[in-house]
Amino acid sequence: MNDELLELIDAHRDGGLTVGQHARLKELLTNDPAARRDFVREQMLEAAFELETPGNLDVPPLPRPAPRRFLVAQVLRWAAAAVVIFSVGLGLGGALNSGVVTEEEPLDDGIALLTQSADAVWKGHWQPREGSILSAGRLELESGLAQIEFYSGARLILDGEVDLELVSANQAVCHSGRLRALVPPQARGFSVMSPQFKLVDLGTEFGMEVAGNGGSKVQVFDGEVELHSSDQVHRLLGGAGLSWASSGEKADIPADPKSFPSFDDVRDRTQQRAMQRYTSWQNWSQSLADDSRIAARYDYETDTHVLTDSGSSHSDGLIIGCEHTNGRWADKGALEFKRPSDRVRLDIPGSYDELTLMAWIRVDSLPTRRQALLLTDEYQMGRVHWQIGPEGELRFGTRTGTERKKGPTSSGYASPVLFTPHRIGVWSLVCSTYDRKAGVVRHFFNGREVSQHGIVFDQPLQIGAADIGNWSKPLEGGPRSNPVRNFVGRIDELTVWSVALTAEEIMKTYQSTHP
Amino acid sequence: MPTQDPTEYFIQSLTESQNRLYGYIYSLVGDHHAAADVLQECNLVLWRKVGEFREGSEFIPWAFGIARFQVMAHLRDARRKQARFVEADLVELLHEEVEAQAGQFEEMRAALRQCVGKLAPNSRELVESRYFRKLAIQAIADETERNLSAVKVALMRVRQALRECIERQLAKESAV
Repeated sequence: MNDELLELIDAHRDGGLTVGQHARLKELLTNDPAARRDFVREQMLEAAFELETPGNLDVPPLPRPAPRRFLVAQVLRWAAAAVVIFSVGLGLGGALNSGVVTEEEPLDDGIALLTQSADAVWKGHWQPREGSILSAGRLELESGLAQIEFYSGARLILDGEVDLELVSANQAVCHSGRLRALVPPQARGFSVMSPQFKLVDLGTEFGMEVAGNGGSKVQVFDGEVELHSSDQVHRLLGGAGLSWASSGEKADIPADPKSFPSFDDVRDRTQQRAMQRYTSWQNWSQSLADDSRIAARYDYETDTHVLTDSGSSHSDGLIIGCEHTNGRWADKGALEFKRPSDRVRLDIPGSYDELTLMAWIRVDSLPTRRQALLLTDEYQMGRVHWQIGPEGELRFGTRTGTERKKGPTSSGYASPVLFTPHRIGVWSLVCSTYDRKAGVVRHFFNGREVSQHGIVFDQPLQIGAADIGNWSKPLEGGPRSNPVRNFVGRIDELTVWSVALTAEEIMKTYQSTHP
Repeated sequence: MPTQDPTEYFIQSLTESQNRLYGYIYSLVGDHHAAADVLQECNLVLWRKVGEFREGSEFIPWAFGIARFQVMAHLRDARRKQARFVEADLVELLHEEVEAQAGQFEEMRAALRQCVGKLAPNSRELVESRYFRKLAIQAIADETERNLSAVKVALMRVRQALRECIERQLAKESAV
């Protein structure tokens, strides 16, 4: 394609055609069929980009081919709506509005929050944690105790093996298992469905059990509930209970609050469990004391302005700003990074052919900019930048050159998006490894590998003077003098290894240290 | 489609051609919001004219014809509000080419995906940042710590490479 046309098309796309350029473009298109062809091709390409889903950055193959905007269901729904509108003779306005495409905006489809969990093991590979936001869908507890708070205010305790379906902030379906519910006046009308009935709560506390054979039992401890079946409504008052077999047979049963774990029980067991986990973390942490593969390790168990390095280089960090707070467990120390001033200054010597960066972090906000985990001062040749990208991806970058004329001056390796709104406020283990011999950079999230990237520019890496949670000395002559990169959230452990840990070691670490 | 319910056939055709229609309309309108609006209007008109659609005749040429009138109507309205680049006479000039390429739109999208997959990692990241994530060039420059003109040049090159690759793919397909 000729350069002139290309330039004109670019200007056109950016909306910046001058009157003269406009005339020239028109002239080209009028007289030259090849120009028309190229122009239309460029426009088609632009339209095709628009329809591509925003992607999974580095994972081949490219984002799914699904058209983003015009799903079949959407069109059909729209088509049906249009027919109805015509048949009742309304104008076009309503129909147009009903089909208007809106810009995508991050949506919070959460309806409940997991607030306590004691030895809770969930089916499937997603293990929700305290603080996890829950969306509509199946939630299957295999064992342990868990407490859920719906956005409506209703609270449920799941006890042992429970198969629950979250429908909305005001409704759940109990497919099997035992649960206790506390429904404060604000959440009146909260309902739980069982195979036999829909239980509508009128402000109360009750227990419910759906057995494997499909029969259901309800015990009302306080207040009043209604049980709706297809043909009848039962009212139950505090102290009363009802057993409803799958055959339809019903029998009165007593209500015994002690037969279900109470909210105090859940709290106590959660605390007890946290203490156990904390102790086992301390033991694990002790076991690393003589590990010579550790270049620097910060366990954040400090209440001074010094963040002690228990690793071989004794590169203690200096805490600036940052508030001392609690970490994964109530007794565990952590630092809170909030303001652009907050940072930990450190200086880790050495040059590394292999490197593992690993940290327990709680991301508390997702601004649309980068958030520093560990950034070396400036960004010199061979130095490392470890951070969370604007979309919520984990990024490991290295500086590979200083002369822009000679091509790219850095290599960035970005994981798929990890920090979605559901992971805000939840403790996560992030880890990236660099291995020259194998030629790969790998990212791990909660012990699991999430992406792998071929090293583009092979070189040993250094850290040197750096910040945790910030960028003290941005690149001189860089595009902006002081880009804001501060981390927003908490960090309660960070380890730099002089080796690339294996996937097994990282998974094991996760298992020994998760809350 | 003798055995199929005509409405069903119509719905199916309409559904299948949404992306191609979008490609058609966007090429002439040059603005994603406007193109989405015109597509909705166009769908409405297609529905209204469902009776005129003759069974057994080809849906796409018929739909493109209607899309063309909708684009013209939009440009007339838009001109009242602000000067637009593409004017009615340009639609006349371009519509044949647009029709030909919009007909191949799905093939082009497939080629695009393949071609992006073949790019070097750095180029691919650039394409994804700019065209999929819609980052501004300045933002990419900030992210990658490169200067603005370097990013512009890199983008132009990678776009050129993509264009050539897509042409090759499409030629290959039509040759088979």
